Amino acid sequence: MMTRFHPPPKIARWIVHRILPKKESIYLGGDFDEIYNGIRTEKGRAAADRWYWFQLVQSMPEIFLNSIYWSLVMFQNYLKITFRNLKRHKGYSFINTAGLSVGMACFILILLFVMFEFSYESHHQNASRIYRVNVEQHLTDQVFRAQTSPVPLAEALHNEIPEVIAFTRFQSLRTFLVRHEDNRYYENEVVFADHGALDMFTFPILKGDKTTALEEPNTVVLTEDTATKYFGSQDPIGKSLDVENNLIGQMSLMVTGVMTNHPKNSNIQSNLLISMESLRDIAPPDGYWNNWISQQLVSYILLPEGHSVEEVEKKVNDVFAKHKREDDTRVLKLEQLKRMHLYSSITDTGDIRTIYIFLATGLLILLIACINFMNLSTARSASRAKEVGMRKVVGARRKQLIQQFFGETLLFSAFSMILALVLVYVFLPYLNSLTGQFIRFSDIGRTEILFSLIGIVVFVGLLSGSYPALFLSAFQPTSVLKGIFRTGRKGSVFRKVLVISQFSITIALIVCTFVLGTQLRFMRNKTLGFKKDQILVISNESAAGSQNIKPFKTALMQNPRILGVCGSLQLPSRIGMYNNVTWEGAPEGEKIELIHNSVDYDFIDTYEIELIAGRNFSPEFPTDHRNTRGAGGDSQNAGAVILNEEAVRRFGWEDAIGKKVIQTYGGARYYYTVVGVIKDFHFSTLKNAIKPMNLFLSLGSNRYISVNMQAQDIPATVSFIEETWNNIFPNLPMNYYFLDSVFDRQYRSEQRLQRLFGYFSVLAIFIACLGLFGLASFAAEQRTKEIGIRKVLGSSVSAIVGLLSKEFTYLVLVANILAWPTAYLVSRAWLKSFAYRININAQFGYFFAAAGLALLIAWITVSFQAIKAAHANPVDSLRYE
Amino acid sequence: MKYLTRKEELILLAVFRLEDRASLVQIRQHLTTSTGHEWTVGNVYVPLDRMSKLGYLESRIGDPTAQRGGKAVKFYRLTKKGIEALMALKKVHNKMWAGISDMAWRK
Repeated sequence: MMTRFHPPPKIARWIVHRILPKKESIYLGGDFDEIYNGIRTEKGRAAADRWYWFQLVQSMPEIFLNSIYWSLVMFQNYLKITFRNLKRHKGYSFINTAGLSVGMACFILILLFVMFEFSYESHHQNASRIYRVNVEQHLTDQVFRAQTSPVPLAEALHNEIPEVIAFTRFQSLRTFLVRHEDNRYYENEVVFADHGALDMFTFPILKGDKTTALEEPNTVVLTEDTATKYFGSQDPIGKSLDVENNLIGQMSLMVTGVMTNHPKNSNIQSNLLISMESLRDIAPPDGYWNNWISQQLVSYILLPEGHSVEEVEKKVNDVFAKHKREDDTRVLKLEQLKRMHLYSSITDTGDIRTIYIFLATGLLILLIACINFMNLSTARSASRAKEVGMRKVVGARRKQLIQQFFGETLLFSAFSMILALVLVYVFLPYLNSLTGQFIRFSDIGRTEILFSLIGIVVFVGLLSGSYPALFLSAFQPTSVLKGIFRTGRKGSVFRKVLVISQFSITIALIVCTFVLGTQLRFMRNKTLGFKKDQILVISNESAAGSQNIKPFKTALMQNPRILGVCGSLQLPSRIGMYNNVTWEGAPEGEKIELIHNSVDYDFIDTYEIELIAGRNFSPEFPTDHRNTRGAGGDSQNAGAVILNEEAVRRFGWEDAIGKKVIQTYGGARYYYTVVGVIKDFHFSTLKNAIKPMNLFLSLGSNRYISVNMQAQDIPATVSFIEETWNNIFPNLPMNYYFLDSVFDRQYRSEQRLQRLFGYFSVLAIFIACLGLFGLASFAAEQRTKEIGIRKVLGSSVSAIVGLLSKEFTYLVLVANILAWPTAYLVSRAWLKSFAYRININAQFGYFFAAAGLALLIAWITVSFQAIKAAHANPVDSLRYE
Repeated sequence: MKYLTRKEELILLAVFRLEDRASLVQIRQHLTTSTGHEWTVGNVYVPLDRMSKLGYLESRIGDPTAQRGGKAVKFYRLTKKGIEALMALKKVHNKMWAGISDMAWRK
């Protein structure tokens, strides 16, 4: 009976052929087609179609599972062989897994660090829609950027631009003394905020009403911890809290809300949010609320979903242009909240460049570990060659062998990952204390990290398996089994290249660590131009403490161990306030930024700053006092200033004394007379060049009181100072620290970088040495016979050690050729971010030191194996067949 | 020695009976008529494949036919090992059934 062939439903047939095991698909597919046609002639098309579709459920799962089962049987064999190899070569297995897991642990730690940095502000639901309004000003020779903006700006933007849905201003007014009954503490994290803050930002409210909490004047919202600090277990809502400082005097607040503590990955850490309205009657309308000139607070605006930032930024500037003075050259820039931590050039938070450096380092270390694996596998290929030959003879295809080797490395990689996670668990606390972050081990459970971990396993497995898989699987069974197989020259060249690249990376890391360390030491030991050791600083924020410190100074000066006491608005280590000024004889329209500090008579003497011309401020000249409250307009005599050399240089004056510096503020001009010139000193970090600076005289700006002490018996002196303080200001706690600790803090991120680099290079050396150790032992094993014969013929132990070490010495030396230029370029680029830096061209000692160090470690590693081989009894080695 | 399962026994017997016509389709047809219930392709294929791999069955490739959409057919045949396995099972059967002619009267 010959009937026509009817093809089954297309889609179902396609699926069936997809699922069927490849080898069987012709026959089984044919069987399906035959049965289909049988049913079709008997019962018709519909029944046949139905039958075919049902097979998808009825037969397919069974057939599919069957094919998986049989491939697993083969896999079992692969597993068995892998574990046998693992056991037989314990040393290699250890080296491989140790290297890989250390490399992976390093990379995971770096990954966690980087993820943490990227997660800043991400808990704010509107993080991508909130923008900070920054102010930029292009002065003659520089661009000045600030995160602060004028007070009325944000509200005007909200009223005049429809896209600005909401706004929040954060006004911080330094440190406050906060009191509830007997609980008194200094609080640094206090801001005045608009009531929209609780809606715009994500500050989850635990108690109180989110919508009204900050509406009324004299209300405050606390974080959970702060509430507990002042009120214990009592319900804080409705209770009163007194705050006080020298800017606003005293204020009594009512607690209207408690919010959760801020997460650590946030730069907004305000523990007390006081309603902006509380300032309504305290701050002057013209000087504050309607002041478009001073930049007093930080403004945030909220934009709608799917907005165009450029467009809004343009509108924002249009509004600003309407309100600011015509000659005002400031422009506004919007900066997204979620980008602020890493990308902002204004605030000194995270830095995207550091992130990249770390990621690159992590990848390099992982690469070194992968190279180890490849190296050892190729080196051992000789011993695996027979297995490959045997498998091929029995019928294994090349593809299967490739799969087997990739499977083996993947297994290794997965196993190393487990060990790496254990290492991460152990070392995470150290990373946290080093970076000041708060990463928990459970963060690894987050999906993106889990996926990256799987990614690492696959990446490492494939990368380190690639060479053995492709190389070993290509062996010709005939030559291998005849025993004429030798590790090819190609393999050994490849190994050399790998060792060279490993050591290049290591040497480059060592050099970078050295350079980093030297630059840090340089910065810490550089003479700054003022005394920074044995200076005790009292941070003095209360109204009573800062107005009149004369009695305190007099009392302290009774003690011969105290060399000087002064009050100032800012510390010499960190002066950041500036005025735009012009000067006598300046070209028309030329303005520069002049950084200033307000100090009392004793500032220059206490800090031992050198006066090179003119005189210090003196009580004999009452006109020295800064007086900007002229009769409405210009003031010809606004007080005296002392300039630094850089300012004099910038103004182009021969003799500065008696010349005028002119400050313009809101259209009025204030003329200051120069009375003295001081030697340049570093008033900010050494990353920045010294800028023009001036000192004003002000006896009421005693935000900091600095005490210069003799080096002897500092504890006694400190307790004397405390006693005196308590006598004179009985109700104020004394808040003090030593100036040099501030310095260390300035270079914290560099210090962190240096220490991490130090650890990383140690790890890189460790991993590279593991690999070298394995290779050396392999080489020694390969040459057992040769060594035996040499010894029989009278070679000495040292000659044999030399023979075995020679090759590795060459490799390490060649690695230097690659490492040096790389390290040179990288460290030069890094050093460029410091205005005051070591000369890298004079640091060639470090390059040699790094090379020597690498060589020494390599020698120790290799000679360990070489000596063992050289000491072996030739009788054993020659008899071994 | 492990005995064959009932399913395997039935399939081997079918292969033996069908002689050189023992393709999957024919085996399935035979089983369906003899046992009186539907056998799916998977039901037949999986044991066939397993017993081929264990060496009870060998296969040869037949010519493609139009009925099969031009695809080749696979015919199965018992190996010596397969016959031995069947015989061993039969021996056990015989031993266990010896002397039991009819069970129905016991009810």
